[in-house]
Amino acid sequence: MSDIVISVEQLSKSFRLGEMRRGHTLADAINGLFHRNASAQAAKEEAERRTLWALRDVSFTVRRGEVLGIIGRNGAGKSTLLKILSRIVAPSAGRAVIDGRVGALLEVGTGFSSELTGRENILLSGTILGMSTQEIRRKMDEIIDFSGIERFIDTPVKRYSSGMYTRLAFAVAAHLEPEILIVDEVLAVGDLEFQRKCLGKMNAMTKGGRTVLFVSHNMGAVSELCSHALLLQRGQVHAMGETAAIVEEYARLQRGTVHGVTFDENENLPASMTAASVTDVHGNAVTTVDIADPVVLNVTYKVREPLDGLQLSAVISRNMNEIICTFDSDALESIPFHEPGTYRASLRLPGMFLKAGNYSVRIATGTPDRLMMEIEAALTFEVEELSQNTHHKGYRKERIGHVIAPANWKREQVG
Amino acid sequence: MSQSPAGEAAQPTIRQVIKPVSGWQPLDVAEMWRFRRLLSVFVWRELKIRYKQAVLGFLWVVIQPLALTIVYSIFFGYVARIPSEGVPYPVFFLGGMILWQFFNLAVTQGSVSLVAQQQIITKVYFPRPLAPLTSVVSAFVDFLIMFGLLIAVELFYGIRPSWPMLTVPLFAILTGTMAFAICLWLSALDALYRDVRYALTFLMQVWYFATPIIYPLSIVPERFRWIMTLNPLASAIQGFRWAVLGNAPPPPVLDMAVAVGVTLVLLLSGAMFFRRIEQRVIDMI
Repeated sequence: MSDIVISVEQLSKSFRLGEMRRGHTLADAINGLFHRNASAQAAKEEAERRTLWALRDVSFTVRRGEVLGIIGRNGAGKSTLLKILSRIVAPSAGRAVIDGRVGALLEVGTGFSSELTGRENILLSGTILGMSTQEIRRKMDEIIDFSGIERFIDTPVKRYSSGMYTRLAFAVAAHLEPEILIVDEVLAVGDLEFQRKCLGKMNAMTKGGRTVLFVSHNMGAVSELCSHALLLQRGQVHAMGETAAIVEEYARLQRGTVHGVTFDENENLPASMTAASVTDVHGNAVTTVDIADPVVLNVTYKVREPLDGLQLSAVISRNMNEIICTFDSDALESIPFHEPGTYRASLRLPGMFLKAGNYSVRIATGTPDRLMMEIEAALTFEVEELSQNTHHKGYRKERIGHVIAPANWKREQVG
Repeated sequence: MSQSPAGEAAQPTIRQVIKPVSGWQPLDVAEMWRFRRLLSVFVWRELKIRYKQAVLGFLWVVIQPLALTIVYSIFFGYVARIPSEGVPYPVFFLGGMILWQFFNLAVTQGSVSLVAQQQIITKVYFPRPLAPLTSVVSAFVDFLIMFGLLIAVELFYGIRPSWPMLTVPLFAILTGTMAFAICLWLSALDALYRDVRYALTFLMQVWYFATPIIYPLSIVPERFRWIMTLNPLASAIQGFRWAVLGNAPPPPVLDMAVAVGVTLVLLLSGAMFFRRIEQRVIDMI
């Protein structure tokens, strides 16, 4: 047992919903005092209902020299786990024992001050990340060299381009030498060449027997770097083991088990929707699809009397607010006449069309002169960058825009 | 559960146990001491940024109190003829004002420090009281420069430093501790309720006039003196003036004891409150 360096025992973290939004001014707090729930029991239930468990009873151990990948969907608790292990937030229950100096890298450029020069920021950020002054002095030249921006090193970083800023920040981080390194998806920045350099550096670091915890959505990077992986699902450990098996399991989970939604029947309407679902092209229900795969939206509806001109409409939004496009069945050349009965319609959205993100679909049915049923966010699904490394692509999710269009620049020299 | 392997015995392993924070706990001084180097870098950054954009840079630390002294000396010393403990009014005023400036700067910066540092606080761990402490220590650096100015002005007026001068650090430490205690309270409150920062300007204004800075304690009517006794800053300034002016009356021992007591109560309660609130604050920001 002597080589276990991290031991996590039933670690849990809960947040109280609503607290984050309310209570930012004193007036709100005073207001809250007068609107307390009269019954203590009701208050307790309310509190219970509002409690969100970001992590629940998470237990695992990490051996010295192990490189552990932590994967899971958004909101599975990965970041919370890293923040607890790096002591930024305290757990609500359970404990973790860590033997060794921990260096956490949850963001690129932690502690950078725009007013200071590159050199000054190396000192500042290095100290914040836990390097000693001698260590920084000793590595100063190496860090500057690694960043590749020697010429601007005595210029305030506010004059840097974002690329230069990232390079410098990463150069500092890459020279951290803690016994245990905690890294959160910071590789998702910088250009491809620089990313390779950083991955190489990290690889070299792990070869040196350093223990690393690495959170990422990039399965390619996880497979390449990590010997073992931990899969989190809704705040709990779903599986842990050899990386290949866990990545496989993650992909299986992503194919989803959730089936569509059903709607209460309304007898008074001439036609109404009864169910809807999101599936892949084979009809398997999914909640997450790969960016390259098509996604199919299915709607089942009942027609109670002969109807002319019945339409369906799907309005797709990304990240809960921006509407991207609508698909209306009256765009068809002929609007079908419906005899009474149950129908099923499906809409196939091609792969390489929607960027990674969370999508919600408002579905509606009606005739040109009457809206019969409209359901906000009836369906939701997520598009993930599973099969592709999109870091250097124009459609990677951090960039603006919502769709991937098949158009490219063409260049020619004209003079 | 785990022992260091024999081969690495030379390298001491740091063991950390992460567990829920519960109850009322005081300040972890030992931990803050371990992070002292980070504190010095924070202070260095604060000072660097504060004066980097100004052409006159550090000179402002001297220009501000000098300009204030001239203005106050004209209106309160020359026009209103406020008594000044037997020394020229400019020396008297400056002798109280620089301690106030130290306190004022530390409190106004320190009270918003937790929010100002949120970018770092949510990304990296360090003992959070370091945020307000940074403001106090960097204000202290300014104080040292102003203290040099005070000595220069005293020499200009022919006042020679005398032995009570040796007690200056005591009053500076008392003031700094008090500022830190208040920063602990207010920075935690400010993170929860931004009202604090708006109320602060007004609070400091009132405190300024409720402290014998532009006037000597001796002109405060006897029946209101007890209020001054309860204001630890009044006692600190009284003591500081005694130490630097040579001529001013020494502070009553009882007043000093009350000042130290009030400061300690504020510090301990502030530390516990801060500790109690910091986790909620981090979950919120």
